[in-house]
Amino acid sequence: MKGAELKHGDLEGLLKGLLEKGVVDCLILPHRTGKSVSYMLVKDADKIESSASALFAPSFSVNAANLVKGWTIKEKVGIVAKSCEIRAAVELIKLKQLDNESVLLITTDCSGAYTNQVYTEHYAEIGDLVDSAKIKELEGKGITIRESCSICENRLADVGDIIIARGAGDDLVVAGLTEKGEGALTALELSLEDKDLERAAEKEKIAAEAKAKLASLPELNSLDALEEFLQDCIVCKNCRDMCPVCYCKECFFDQPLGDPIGGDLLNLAELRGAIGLPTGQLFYHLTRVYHVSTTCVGCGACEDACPKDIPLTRFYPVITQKVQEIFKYEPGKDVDEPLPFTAYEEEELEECLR
Amino acid sequence: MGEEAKEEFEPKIVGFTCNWCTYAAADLAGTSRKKYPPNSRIIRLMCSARLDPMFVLKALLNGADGVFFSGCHPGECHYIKGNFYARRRIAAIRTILKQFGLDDRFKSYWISASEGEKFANTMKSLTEEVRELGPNPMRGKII
Amino acid sequence: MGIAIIGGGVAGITAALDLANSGYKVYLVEKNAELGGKMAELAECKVGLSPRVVEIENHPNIDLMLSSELESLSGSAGNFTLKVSGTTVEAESVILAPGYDVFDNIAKSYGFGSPDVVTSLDFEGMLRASTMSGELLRPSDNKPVKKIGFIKCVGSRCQENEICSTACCAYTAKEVWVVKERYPDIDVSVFYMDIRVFGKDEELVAELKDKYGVKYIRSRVPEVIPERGSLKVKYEDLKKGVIANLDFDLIVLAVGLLPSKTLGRLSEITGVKTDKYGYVETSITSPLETNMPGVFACGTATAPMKVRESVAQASGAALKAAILSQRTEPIPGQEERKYIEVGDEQKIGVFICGCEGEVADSVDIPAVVEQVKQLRDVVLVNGDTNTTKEVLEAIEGGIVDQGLNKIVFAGYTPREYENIFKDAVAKAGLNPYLLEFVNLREQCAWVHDKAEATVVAAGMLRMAVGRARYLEAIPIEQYPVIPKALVIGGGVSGMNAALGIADAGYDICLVEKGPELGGGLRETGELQSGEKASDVLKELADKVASNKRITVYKNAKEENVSGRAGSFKANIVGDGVNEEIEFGACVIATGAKDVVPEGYSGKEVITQAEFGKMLGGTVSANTIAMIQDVGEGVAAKYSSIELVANALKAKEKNPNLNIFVLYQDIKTYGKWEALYKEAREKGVIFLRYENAPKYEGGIVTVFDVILNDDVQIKPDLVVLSTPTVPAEDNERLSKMFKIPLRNGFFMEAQERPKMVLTPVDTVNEGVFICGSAVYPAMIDECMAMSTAAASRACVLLAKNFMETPAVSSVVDEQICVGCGVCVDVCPVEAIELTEELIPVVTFGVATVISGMKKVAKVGDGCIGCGSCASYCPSGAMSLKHFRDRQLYAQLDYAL
Repeated sequence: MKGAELKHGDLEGLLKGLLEKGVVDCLILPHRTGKSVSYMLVKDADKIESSASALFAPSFSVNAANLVKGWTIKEKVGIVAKSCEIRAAVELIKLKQLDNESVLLITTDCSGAYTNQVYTEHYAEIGDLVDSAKIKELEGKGITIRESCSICENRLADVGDIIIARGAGDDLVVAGLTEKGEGALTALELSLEDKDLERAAEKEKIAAEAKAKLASLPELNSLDALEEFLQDCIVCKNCRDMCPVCYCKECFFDQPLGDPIGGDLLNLAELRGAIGLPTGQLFYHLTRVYHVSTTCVGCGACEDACPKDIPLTRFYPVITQKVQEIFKYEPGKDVDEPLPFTAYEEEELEECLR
Repeated sequence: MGEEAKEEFEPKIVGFTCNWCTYAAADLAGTSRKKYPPNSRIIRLMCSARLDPMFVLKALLNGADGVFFSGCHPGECHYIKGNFYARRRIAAIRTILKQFGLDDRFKSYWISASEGEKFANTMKSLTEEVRELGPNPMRGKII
Repeated sequence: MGIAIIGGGVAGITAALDLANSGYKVYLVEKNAELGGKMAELAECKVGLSPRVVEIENHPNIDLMLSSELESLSGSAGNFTLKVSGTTVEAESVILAPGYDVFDNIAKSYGFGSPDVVTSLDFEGMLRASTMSGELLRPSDNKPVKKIGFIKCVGSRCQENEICSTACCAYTAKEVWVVKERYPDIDVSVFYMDIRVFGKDEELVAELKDKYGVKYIRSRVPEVIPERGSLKVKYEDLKKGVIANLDFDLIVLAVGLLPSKTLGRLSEITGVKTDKYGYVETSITSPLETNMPGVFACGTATAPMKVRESVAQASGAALKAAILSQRTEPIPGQEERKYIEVGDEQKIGVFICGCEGEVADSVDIPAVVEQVKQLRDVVLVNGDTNTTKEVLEAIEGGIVDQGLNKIVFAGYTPREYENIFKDAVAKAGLNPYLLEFVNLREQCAWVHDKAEATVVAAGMLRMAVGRARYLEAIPIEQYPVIPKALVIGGGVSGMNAALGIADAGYDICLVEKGPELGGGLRETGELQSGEKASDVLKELADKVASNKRITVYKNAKEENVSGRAGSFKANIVGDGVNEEIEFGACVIATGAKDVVPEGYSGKEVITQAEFGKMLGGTVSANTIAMIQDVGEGVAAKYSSIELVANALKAKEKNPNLNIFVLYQDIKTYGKWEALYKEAREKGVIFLRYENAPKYEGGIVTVFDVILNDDVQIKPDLVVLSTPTVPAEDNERLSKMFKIPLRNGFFMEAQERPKMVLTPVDTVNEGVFICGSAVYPAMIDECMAMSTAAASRACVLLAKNFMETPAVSSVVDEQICVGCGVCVDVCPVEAIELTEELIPVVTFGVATVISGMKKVAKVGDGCIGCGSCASYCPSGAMSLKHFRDRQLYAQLDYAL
């Protein structure tokens, strides 16, 4: 890949350049409001200043991809976000809910994030930037990153069009990962040279830790366990609404067959003697986990969204990873790789069928 | 569960079959008067590709002790490649079911139109396997 | 007037339906009290044939004359008068389909007379009985059979009946298959001289040997010696060259076929000539025509043959007869149909048919009726009918008189009866998709014990009633049939098909990819009948050229095929042509091609076809080695016949010529067996090998299994029978027309396993196949098959309109989010994404922002598999008649 070395202080200029040079028509990027961080959509380059301290802020509010889902305009949008968000955006491109020609995906390195509530509450301790040492240190104080981040193996994923990778101290590397990304950097008149981010070891370490963490989580290994896990679910479907890869306009579970009311409910009760109310927690979540089984990026937005604090990370990413493994598919890795359900090989998967 | 309870337990099984192969094989089993256990109910689809994994989930959640799917052998689909796509979906749902120990209750087969004997034998072994598993824990639950 | 068909077996039935369904009046004359002929005696076949029998019995255009015989025939083509058991029938043409009789003068040496030595037809009866009892029992002592010996060629290839009966090898294989499928522990041996099967049957035999462990033992005519409690088969072990014995407890004699005993009298009455074997005399270039203009023959009236070939001939004869006749009757299903409006009120009528006792014997129908009556919305339950006719009448009455708006029928399998019932429902004024089938006979009564069957039946009916509630009237759209056909391939089959369709009155585009018409036959010298292939070709090509209805495109091929039966579109692209054509039906006749096997080279090595041409001049050789069955590819059906015919011609030219034939199986089926016999008599030496012979340094070395030694021949000429491979274009056409291939050849649509009743139809309605595109065949078969394909095409073209397939996918545009996965998982590329601009409310003034909305659109090509519906997470895409709601209802009531 081709890239350039920068300092943190250069980023503001770089992002402004994207707008000023017309590489993109607008930018979506993290935005600080006091102690908290959310996103903003920028047309005026001057407004980018407020972003500087938020670009690497270890805070997760919404998945940025969810904000642009269904974005079908021709105007080009640059998205600066964490790898799980960019990976979700790549899946949305495959699902035609985003146009590859109209986006410039810029991934920032992530060390793991706190929910935005935790982040805001402990901003004084956490600050604008963290690294793994800092995360460990904070963990000792009972300030922990989101469970989905702790089992994420892709915090340093080189995905999207451009990667902004953190080096030691104030160092950064900005590199193009696609032709489009390189083209954008070239337009910014950066002097690009061949770059190798050389962080395989670090990635492996993260992956190993993530795996260990995953293994330590309580496992949902029976229907009874699942039932207990979901017993407080009120089927508000907020997990779906915040999920970046749940992309239907009208969900099956908002239609009469999936969301029976009145006479339909009564019919079901007649058929089965009695039904629970609200009904269908298990059906809803099992269906949803199947629907996102190949595209789930494990961002944990579902868990953040749950008003009943059900730790959905122990359900969604844990299961979808297993499905992705059988198809040897990594969501968000490559925009040209077909979705598993749209492809096949003539001989495959016999071990998955019995 | 005790031996006695097992004996009393009659599994309820729902199967989804492709019209062109397994459904025809079931007809052939009939023509050949191959007896098999009465535990399975068949839902006829035109192609295994019509099997939405949600059907499998719904059947299991509604208390089916076993669910099976059967289509044309890979490469022999009446709709050219419908069963290749079906196989991927089935593999996905199996993986999900496996997490909860439910995969044993969901079987998939490839049975062609000429395999009437295989169909009957499959129904026999399937019923026995499901009987061995015991009742679906969801049976009778209020959900 | 109309067409008289003599014989109500499978051939007569097929011809009758093709004619009646294209608007001709048919008189179907059958001497027995029931239709079905010999097939009705075969357990598997009867079930397969019965839907067609029901269709005939209910067909308005067919006068069924059972227990009737032809007494006289007068007049001429276009104006015949027949006396049929006292009734006068006027017809423009006559089809003879009297079928066959089995050889019954069985030699004592087969132990015939012992109760445990049975004919294959008796054995069919035993198999049928065994389906009831579950056990295959020996007639003498009712003990389970453990070891069966099948003996082939009983009463064929013998003195009393010198020709080969063609069908026995395949039907024996099928009987053996049934035995091994049902009773894997029964030990089976088959004694044979040659295995004369092709294509799929060849695969079946290989499977029997390899997978089922059936012992195929090549031997000369064995002797059966009944001994106490067993049957000893004494045979010559050709491998070891010794006489060997094997004991069995049942012997099945695969008896040969003879011309129908009625054929002699039919010949007297009609003046139709028979050949020396007693079959109707036809020629290999006109296999359906008799010496009497206007009288056609088909099926085993013309030669011993299998069901597949009989049915093809029958369809072909139907077209020949139709061409001479006037269409006088309306075509069923072409009348205007108005359906009653179905309101919100559910009025479900349930009809449980006893199926001639088949269901009633196992299922306690009254008990089921009581249970079904309790189900919601069921207003009528009728469990009193016992036949198709009765239940069809009851259903029609229920709709007309009682205003039922959903029908649940429980009885036969929908796979074969659905169309008959849909038609009846539609006739009564109810949309046919408001009918739900319950397969009580095949999937309940026949497979469960009585107590169980009743419980299962009630359960199945619950599911069906549950589903019926959600059935929807699917609007049936009609589109006009384009009265034009496309024929692909300009060989004999293609030209003949084109001529057949043109003679029936339709325009044809005949597309040949090469520069000339004629195909594979251009490489042939003389036909087996002695006619020059070039003369036959010229006659056909002249007819094609002078026929105003046929437009020939050479050096051209077809591209971008779209549409469906009755209304296709394609581009014809070639030398200076790029034309879009529309057509209602298509016949694929791409032929096959010969390949010269590898490993044999030298100037003295030629192919059998080249040798055939050489025979037109001088053959300067003293010793010829003919090698068959080498190389990659399949052996054409004519391969052995061409070989022996050429050998005989060569011998005729030079009786002193030494001819060695190196082979694995000589497949001179049917009447061609006579040539094989003659060749042996004239001194042609046949050497059977197991390992391919070597040809090095001018010497052929072969290990002869009978001499148990290497034999070396130094021939002046090596003549190779070339194996055949599919036409290169098949792969491309298969994709374009969505027709699967088997080993590169086109596959027929199959309604039933191991029985072919639709040899020229494909899974893609409106596209037909014939000739060597299906399997490399003799010219007579190509002619019959191509006429059959033409006939089937004409049945379609005769219609004014077709109905759009009701079971197709449909998009809810409000819900579709345009992800396009359905486009990717559609096996036939029938879905596309359309884009439209959506107005976006803009705030402020800075930029005009436009959004694009993508929506899936299902095109005409949808074949209703439902792949898209199963993917679509929001349910925007659904498959009509198999909607989620309908399937969920079934599921809900299944548990």
